[in-house]
Amino acid sequence: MKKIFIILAGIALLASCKTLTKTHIVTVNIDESKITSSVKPESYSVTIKNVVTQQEKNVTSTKATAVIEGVYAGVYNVSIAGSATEDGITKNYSGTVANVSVLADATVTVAAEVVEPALVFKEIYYTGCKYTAPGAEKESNYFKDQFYEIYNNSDNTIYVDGLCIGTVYNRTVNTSGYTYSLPEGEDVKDYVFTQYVWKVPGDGTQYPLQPGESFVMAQQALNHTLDGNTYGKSLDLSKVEFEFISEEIIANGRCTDNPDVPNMLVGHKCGTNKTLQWLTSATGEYYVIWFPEKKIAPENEITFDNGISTFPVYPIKKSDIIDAVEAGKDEASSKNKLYFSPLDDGYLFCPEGNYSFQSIARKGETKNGRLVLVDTNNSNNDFEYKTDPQLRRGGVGAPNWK
Amino acid sequence: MKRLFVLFLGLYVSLAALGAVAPGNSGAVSGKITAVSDNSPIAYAVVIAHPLEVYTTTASDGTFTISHLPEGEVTIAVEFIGYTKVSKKVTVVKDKTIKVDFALEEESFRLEEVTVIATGSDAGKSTSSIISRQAMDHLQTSSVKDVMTMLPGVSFSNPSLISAQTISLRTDDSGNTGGLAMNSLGTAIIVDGAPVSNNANMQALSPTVASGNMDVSLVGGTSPETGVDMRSLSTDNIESIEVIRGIPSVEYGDLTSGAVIIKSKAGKMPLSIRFKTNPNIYQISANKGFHAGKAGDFNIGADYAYSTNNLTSSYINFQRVNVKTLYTKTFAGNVTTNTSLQVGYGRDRRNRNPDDEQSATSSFSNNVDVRLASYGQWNAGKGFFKSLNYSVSASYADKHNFYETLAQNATGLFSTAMGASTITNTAGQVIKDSEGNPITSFAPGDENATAIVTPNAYLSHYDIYGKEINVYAKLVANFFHKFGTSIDSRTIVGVDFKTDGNVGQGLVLPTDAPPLRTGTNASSGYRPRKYSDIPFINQLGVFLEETWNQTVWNRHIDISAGLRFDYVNGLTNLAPRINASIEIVPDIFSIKGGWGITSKAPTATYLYPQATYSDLVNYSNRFLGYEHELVVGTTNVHDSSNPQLKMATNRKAEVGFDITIAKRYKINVTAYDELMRNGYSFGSDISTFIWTQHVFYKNINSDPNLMPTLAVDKVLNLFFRYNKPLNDVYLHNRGIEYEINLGRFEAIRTSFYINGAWTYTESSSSANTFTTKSNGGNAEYNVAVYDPYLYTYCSEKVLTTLRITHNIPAIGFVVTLSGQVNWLGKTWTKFGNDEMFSQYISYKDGKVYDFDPALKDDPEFRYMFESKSPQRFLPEKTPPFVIFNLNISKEIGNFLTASFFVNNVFNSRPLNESDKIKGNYNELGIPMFFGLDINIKIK
Repeated sequence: MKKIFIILAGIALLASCKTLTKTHIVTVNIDESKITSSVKPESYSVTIKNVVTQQEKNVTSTKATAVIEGVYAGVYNVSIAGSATEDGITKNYSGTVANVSVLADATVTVAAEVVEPALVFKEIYYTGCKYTAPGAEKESNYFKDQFYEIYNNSDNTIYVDGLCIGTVYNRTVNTSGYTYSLPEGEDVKDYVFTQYVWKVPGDGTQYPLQPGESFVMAQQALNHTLDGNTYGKSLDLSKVEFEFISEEIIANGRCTDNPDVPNMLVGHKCGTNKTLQWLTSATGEYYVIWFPEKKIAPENEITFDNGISTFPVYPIKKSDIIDAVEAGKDEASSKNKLYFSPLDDGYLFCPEGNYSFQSIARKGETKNGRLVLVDTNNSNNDFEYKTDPQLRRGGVGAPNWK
Repeated sequence: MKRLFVLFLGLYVSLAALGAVAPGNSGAVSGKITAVSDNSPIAYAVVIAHPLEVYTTTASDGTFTISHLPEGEVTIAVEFIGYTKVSKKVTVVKDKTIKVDFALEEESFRLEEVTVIATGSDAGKSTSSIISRQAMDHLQTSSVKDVMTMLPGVSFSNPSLISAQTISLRTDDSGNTGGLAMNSLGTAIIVDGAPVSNNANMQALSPTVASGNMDVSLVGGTSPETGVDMRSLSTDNIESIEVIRGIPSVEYGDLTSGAVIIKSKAGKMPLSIRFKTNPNIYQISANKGFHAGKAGDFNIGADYAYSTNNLTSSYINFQRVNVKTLYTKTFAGNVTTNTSLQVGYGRDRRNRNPDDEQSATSSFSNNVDVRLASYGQWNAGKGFFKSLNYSVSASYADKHNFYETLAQNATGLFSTAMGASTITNTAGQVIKDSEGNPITSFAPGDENATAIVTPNAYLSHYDIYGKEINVYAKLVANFFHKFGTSIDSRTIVGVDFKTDGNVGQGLVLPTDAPPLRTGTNASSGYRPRKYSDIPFINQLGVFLEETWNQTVWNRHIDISAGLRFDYVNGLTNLAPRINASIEIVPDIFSIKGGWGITSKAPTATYLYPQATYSDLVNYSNRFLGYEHELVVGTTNVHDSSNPQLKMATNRKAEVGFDITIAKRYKINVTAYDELMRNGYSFGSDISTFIWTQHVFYKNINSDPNLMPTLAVDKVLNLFFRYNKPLNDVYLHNRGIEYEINLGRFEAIRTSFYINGAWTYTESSSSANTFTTKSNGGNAEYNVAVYDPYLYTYCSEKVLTTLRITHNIPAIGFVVTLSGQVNWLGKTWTKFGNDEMFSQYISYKDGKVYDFDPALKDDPEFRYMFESKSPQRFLPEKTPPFVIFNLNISKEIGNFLTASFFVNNVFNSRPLNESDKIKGNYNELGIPMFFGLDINIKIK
């Protein structure tokens, strides 16, 4: 009798062991209804992660479905990540469903939503500097060394192809009634306007910015410390990622094109005066970066009428804007500032003013081995003034795009 | 029209020449001129017989004789510096000498009648204003331009010497089509019979690069595109000024707007020291005339003036030193000569503004000039040939302009190539591209030229050395004949010759610090230029004029008609002119009119402009820190002269009337219309856009620190653009001038004088307007061609000036209150079709095509349009406002005269809001200003 009991127990035990090591198949359906663009990701990276053991399993989906086999029973978080490129701009999508209980073959639906790219202005150097030209008694102003540094403040790779940068036109209060000739149905409160749209080149896959990396766009990618430029002042920008040089600027003869640094593209230029160089005000401007939903095209240009004359401007939808920072001349000028909510409300002004070799840099602290920059959507809190403009402050990485 | 005129004129002249009355039928007039105060004789007083216009001067004992006068009535007029003019009507009797004595009163403010306003011209002569020495003293002029405020329709202004003072007549142009500059270029300044010339002035950077280079207000000195700078003439030396604003006699050539005729002080006069000051100017001068017995009369004057525009910015100043001597002599009773030698030094200085840390700009303009002039008359006497008048002058002006500034954002190509070459930054370097095709090419003479890229900021400077030479000679034969008792006919036949040239070193540039180029125009390379290489401009003029005075039914008819032919360096022009006046009601009402053509020859800067140099970079790797720096630049040279340049002509027409009421109240009204269609300016036409296919290279050497190996990167179609001399200035001046002279009311010792004008000026350009707009970030673009007369700048003004002069002769006190009412001031622009261009120059092939308006939104063309504001049609109007000026002169004792003036006594400067830009205000009127003048006469 005891023998049979032991044998029976052994068989039962064996049987239950088999139940414990049984794996299930989890089918993940990706709900793409929230994706507004016409191009959807070819495939998604689907990850299923056990909440308790932290073990992960990752597959690549076929279109909007993924099948994960060999999933042990347990509670899992299912997350998806994908990217799609349309018109040269790559968008990241992700979705998570938490605490999925897998006890048998299961089907999970995860909604894919666009990930707002966490690109932020890390440092903007706009003031320019002063130096003494040989033979001159007084100092001259130098402004060719302006640069804009953008940082990937997130944990995922962001493709910066097609990123647009510009300065906002008409940002001070004025008394005359002015109008924008937006098309029917559009509300001026949804837009800010610019006169020059520069665009990062690329087809959507050429310039990935890893988490913790930053890239720099310079007005002219030269070594500005050389004799003939500032004779030892300023800084060396000859190795930055992009420079604001167009064919027109080259033909006008005032700038040197660094052959090793790719040129930004002119997305749109309003007005038809000749551009010698892309100079933004040495006392600061309202800088914005955005990925345009609506393709940049000359037809979108509208006119701004201030009651006296009209000026052409290009509209930027506020919802497209990723980061916005305003800088200006001084405290007194901030009183005339226009507010473009929900964009940044802050107003910075370099204490020494223009041509003082000062920059505005975003504060940050190191978390988990990576610099995380402060972004409370109020640049007065997020930025500090630096008297030594430098690239990649804090030792952040540079992208390897060669 | 012209042929009929010539025929008519020929008839007159032949009638005059045939003159039935045989020579010999003449008498003489003689007499003695003394001073009223002490009966002392006045030597070298000028005695003129009108209407023959024959003159002589009195001898040491004050006596004179004019013989060979025709029987009948002549008017003898006597004038001498410092004394009032006197004239008397004398009836000449055949073969008899009539004795007429004159006693002249010393001119002073103690006289019953003081002349402190501009007086009008005689009937039948050109419309002009004559300003006497006394008026200039009362007004305290420090430059001749100050007397212009006495003309009808000229707004009050404060005296200034800080920038070039040029004179313009009957125009109020404020548009930027060059009308005002052309008007002042066409105003002749004639000093002691010979014109002062600005024709060889080239003291400016080349206008082919930018026409605005001729605006020298920031640099100093006189611009080549305007008239003579009146600051070089000291006013204390001047005896009288006549401003001819109507149709001048054909005796005066090389002018379009009119003439300012200046007579210097001549003859014996006591030592006079004058000191003048106002917030802008300090001036001291001395003048003395000697009688050196039989040797003649000498008059010497010296003048020093210092002017600064602003007491707080004295780093901008002007200084002038002037010494002049005038020698008068009568030889053997019938040859009179006046010879003058003038030496002057003028200096404009703009030092570095100590508060301007950035631009470090300083400039100066130094001007030394010497002028020798002589005029005189030989009284021929016999028959109808009465006299031969001559006038000669020779002047030399040494000018040096210097300008230094810190050029900023100045990175750009600077090439020393003078021909069409492609060169590098190493002299003589020959390079080929990666396929073996040559890149460099050297025009003859450029073998050692270099092309460099200038640094971001450097101290740039340039010098312009000009040595202007002007020679003038005029000979006029004067014929007079009387037909019966009622017809006087005077004919003059003359010839004048003028040559202007510049033998200076010209524009001198440093080898590596050129003036800043215009960033958007490759054709803006500056090169040195020797002015001595430029040919002289020779002008020959032949003229003939008949003056006919006739009395019919007790009414005077005066007609003056002439013809002038000019030949200048291959250009010719025929200019008929006529002035006439007919009395309708004797001594009360007469009508007058005039019509004529005037012409001004092109000056050296328009006839021989500098060639244009386009410099464009093909490759540069400077400022990147590489070991081998290579710059490749291409230069193209274009001849910018205009072989089709014609003489600028002005058609003047006038009509008006004169009324004299109760023998003393005079009213003159003149309506005028002056039209110029072909004035000079630097501008663009289709040929000034040079289409070129420019090659840009890239370095295909993988190691940037090695010597670059160049390969063709791209070829772009670009336009080079320059300016060339054109006949495109359109200037149309119309107006009605009036003068009401109520004369002096003895009872209240006050005289009233009103003058004013309605003026209307339109200025435009008959050339096409071109715009070049950039197409996004692309370098290639089309050139838009708009219709001619695209902008017509219109300006209208109605002005009245009332002058009330009160004098107390007993104490030598004169006070004038002037009130000027600006009733209406309006400026606006008339636009042609500025929203659509009619043609375009294509960047694809450089050819001109008609533009189809339906293609307006085509991406190929949409960037060429710019949005236009409807506000641009709005006129700017100023409301009526009044300015009061006060002038006081007082004689103290026997030798001191003090004058004081205040402009804008009530400091009325109303603010006027702009009609176009709301919220913008400007002040009307002139700032309050005052000055003091002290004149000491030591006998």
